Amino acid sequence: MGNNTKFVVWIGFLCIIMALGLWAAITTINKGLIVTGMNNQVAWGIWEAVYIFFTGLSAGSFFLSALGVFGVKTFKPVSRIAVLLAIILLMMAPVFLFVGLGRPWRFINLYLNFNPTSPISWGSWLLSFYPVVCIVYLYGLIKDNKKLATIFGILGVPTAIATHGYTGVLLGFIKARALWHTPLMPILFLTSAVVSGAALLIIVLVVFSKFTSLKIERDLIFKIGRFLLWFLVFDLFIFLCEVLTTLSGGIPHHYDSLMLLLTGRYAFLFLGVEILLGTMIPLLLLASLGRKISILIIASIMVIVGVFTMRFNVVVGGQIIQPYGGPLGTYIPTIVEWSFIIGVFALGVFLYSFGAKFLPLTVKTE
Amino acid sequence: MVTKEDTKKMKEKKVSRREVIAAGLTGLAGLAVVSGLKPAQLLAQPNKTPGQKTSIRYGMVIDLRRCIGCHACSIACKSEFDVALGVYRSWVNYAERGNYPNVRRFFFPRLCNHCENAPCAQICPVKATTKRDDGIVVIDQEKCIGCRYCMQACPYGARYFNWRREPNQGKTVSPARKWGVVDKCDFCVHRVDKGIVPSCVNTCVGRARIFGNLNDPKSEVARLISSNATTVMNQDLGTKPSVYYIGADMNTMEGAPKGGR
Repeated sequence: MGNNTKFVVWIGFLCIIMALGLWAAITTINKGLIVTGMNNQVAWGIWEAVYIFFTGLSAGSFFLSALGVFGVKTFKPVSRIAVLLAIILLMMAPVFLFVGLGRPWRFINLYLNFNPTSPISWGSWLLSFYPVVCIVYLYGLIKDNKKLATIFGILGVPTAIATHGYTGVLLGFIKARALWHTPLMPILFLTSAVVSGAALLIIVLVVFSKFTSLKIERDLIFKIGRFLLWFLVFDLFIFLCEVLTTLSGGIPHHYDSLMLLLTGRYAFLFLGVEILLGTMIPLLLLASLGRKISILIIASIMVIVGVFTMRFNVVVGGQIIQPYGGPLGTYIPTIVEWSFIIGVFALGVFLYSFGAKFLPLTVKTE
Repeated sequence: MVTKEDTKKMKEKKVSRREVIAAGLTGLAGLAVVSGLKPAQLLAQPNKTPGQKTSIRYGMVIDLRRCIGCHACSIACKSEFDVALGVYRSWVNYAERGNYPNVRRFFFPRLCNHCENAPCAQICPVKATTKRDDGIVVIDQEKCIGCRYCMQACPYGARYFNWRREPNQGKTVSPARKWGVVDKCDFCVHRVDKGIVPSCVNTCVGRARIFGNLNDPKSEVARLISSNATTVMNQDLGTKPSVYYIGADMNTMEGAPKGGR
């Protein structure tokens, strides 16, 4: 009974935060995008960054879930937990795109018109198709229907790669924005997606074993920690490739937009938060990790903050330098934008809390 | 010794000089009146020979040797359309180069380049931005969802977004602008379709802006392009713009232009 009261209080708390998000959404739709910090130079703001961050987390969680189905036995107990994360994160992501449209209700045009040369045209279908695959896959897992789970697990991996890789293509296609215009962009996004997905799963698993009857083996959590470590190394490697190529190339627009991150206005967010706090320190913590869950949790939180900052740096930092020598852009997210992000985040936690309570997510390990 | 006749002659001379000046002034005034009454420069129609189809590709030549940086084109454009505060569909950048006394200020009128390989039309997810058969890149404001992807894609910074949700002023002859959608120069399609040159071309005092059919070898734009050294912006990006510049110092303009937006 006490447990139920706690749950009700928790849900009530989330509802209050969600109301804040609802206020932000209604304000934006009523007054138009003028209430955001976006402008003609920086036409995409923090919402687009959060959208890419959430699809990344979703794809990362899905990969880890699918590992369990593909015979990596140790990952089997987390399959359901991870795929529910993937589904909910993916339901949250397009909400930002919807409210971020100049004419939200015209989103239906995306389905009525198809432009084969436009990444967004493909992306809107992917974003609709991927959750369906995930839900059928979760259904298969819960019903212990091995065939269904395997088919949709296999189908889901390329779909997850496409859905998140698409965000990289979306930016990579834009030759007018030098920082984005690199074929490495989808790879960079996918790698950091796996990194952030693994970090989130570690946190969720620890929370699960603390607040529910489920006891997750410490071994498994540390295995995911190892996985996180190696992908973090790979992520850093790709990053170095990109940075060094641009530095040695010295092509004016490319070079200038990179120097904005290295020495300019975004140096603190890039070098300080993304590289030092989000990559180097977690790397050291994970590598020298004894057997302490608390250190693992701290490293995971740092990694998630780092990946989120990376999304922001790429999306917003890429738009500061204007094509053809225009004045530098500026962008500071407004209260409305922050409120909406917090509100949608609460919605995600809300949905996950219900899922965790009413869906059989835990697998008996015999 | 001045005789009466001489004075008479001188008077006649004076009169005749005065007459000449007066006649000249009247003529000028007459010209001004005529040109003031004339609604707009007409667009040269392609000389069609029966049975032969002349393809049209509209384009503009901006002769910077004639540009005095008066910004009349920006203003004409602003008045032609319901352009929101703080943004321009067509504007003039300028830049200075050198140290005193060897200095020069460059003017650089800007607008949508109506590229042949338009990156904006390529990536528009709902086909709201399209390229017409005559080469003009237009936005269907009823179709546009306002995702602003085209603003990212445009290497000319020609696009802006109507951020404010406010009723349009409806004080212009052109179709009213809509909120929540992307907007840009459309070569004044509402004028061009009626055989009149765009507003900026019509108003340009030095006739620095010339508009016409690039595919018609007899048109003024085609003649200027074939007989002058021209440049286009961002040639390396392969967009194939339809706006050509004569006498542009791209090195200076790409550096740090001031003014404009």
